[in-house]
Amino acid sequence: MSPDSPPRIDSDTALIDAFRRGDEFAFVALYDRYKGAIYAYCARMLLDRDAAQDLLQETFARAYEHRDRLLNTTSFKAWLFTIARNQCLNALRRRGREIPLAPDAPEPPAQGTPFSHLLRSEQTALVQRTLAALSPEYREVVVLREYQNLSYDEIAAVTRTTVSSVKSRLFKARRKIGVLLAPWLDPNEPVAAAPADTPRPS
Amino acid sequence: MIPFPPPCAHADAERLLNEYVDGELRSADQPALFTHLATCAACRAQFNALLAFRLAARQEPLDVPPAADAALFARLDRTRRVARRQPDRSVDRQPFGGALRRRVSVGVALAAVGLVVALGAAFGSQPTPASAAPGGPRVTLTVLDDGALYLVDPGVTVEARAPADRRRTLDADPAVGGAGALLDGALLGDGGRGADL
Repeated sequence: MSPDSPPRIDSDTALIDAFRRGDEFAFVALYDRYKGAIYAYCARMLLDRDAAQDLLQETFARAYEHRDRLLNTTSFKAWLFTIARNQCLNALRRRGREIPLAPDAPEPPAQGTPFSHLLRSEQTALVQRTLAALSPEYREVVVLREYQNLSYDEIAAVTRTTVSSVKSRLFKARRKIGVLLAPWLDPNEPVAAAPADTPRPS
Repeated sequence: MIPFPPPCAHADAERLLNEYVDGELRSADQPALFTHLATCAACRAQFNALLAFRLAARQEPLDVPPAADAALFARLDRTRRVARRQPDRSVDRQPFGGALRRRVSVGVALAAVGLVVALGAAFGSQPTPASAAPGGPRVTLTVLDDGALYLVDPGVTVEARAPADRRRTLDADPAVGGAGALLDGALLGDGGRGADL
């Protein structure tokens, strides 16, 4: 970096401060950092990638338009997830029913054998069916914990509940996940309350 | 509502297991968990299920499509253009700010001016009352054989006593109090009695 070039903004705090002051480049940098997490969260909450793409746009557009409401720079991540969560819950309410993840165009083959590809797609389908079997209030804590690695405190901030409530919901959701996955882990286990149209393991 | 019963009846087993999976379990509590897992098949099965779910969940890549980036930045461009076109309303939100600084269109301003002119023309062309008209009513003294008649426009006739050889036309002068004052003065000045107006 030459001495005349502007200093590179690395930390989230500096980026968020610059974003609140109206720096467009800071907003783009924050978008690049968080778009994957927000998109994945929306996709797993809605089980619909097209809708997740719309909500990704809606979430960052709202963050851009209402940046003056972000009072604390340390809570930016939770603030962003809160916006995305509200959008997801509104979308689920509007939808009225949950639609399974729409089949997308096949992804380019990755390294590995055909068997490993098959195994991977089966695992992906199984996870999606498991998430679809959870109610939105259970699904959101599982997604925030398992996919986004948010702490209990951060999940409580996003969902506007207490840490004890987050733990209670998360533990119950995992209890249900354990029951749903039991037939795949132990073929002798009877399939109890498995999601509809879920194939039994051979 | 609890959809499924806990994997085992141990009071703290579920909490310890979940906190361990989340990396939140204190080191001091870990031996108790491992001791329990060694003896409880239900908790072992639950532990394996959670690890399997986590492993499978991370198999699916979810990359943001490039179209999403383009759509967001196009939308932000539209937002910025709209914001530039809108006037600054911050002054209007201040106390009395809106009252002191209102922007009206040229059309509205012209319409308001036209309305004022039309109203002025309409009211200005109406017949004015006798006591307040700038031009004043015309008061005509007509002396007949049996007395005097004061004809006051627009159609009020007053009969009074007056000299028989006088016939005059009085133009009311607003500077001295209008037609009534002139009429009284003329009558009283002529030595007659006041007209009952």
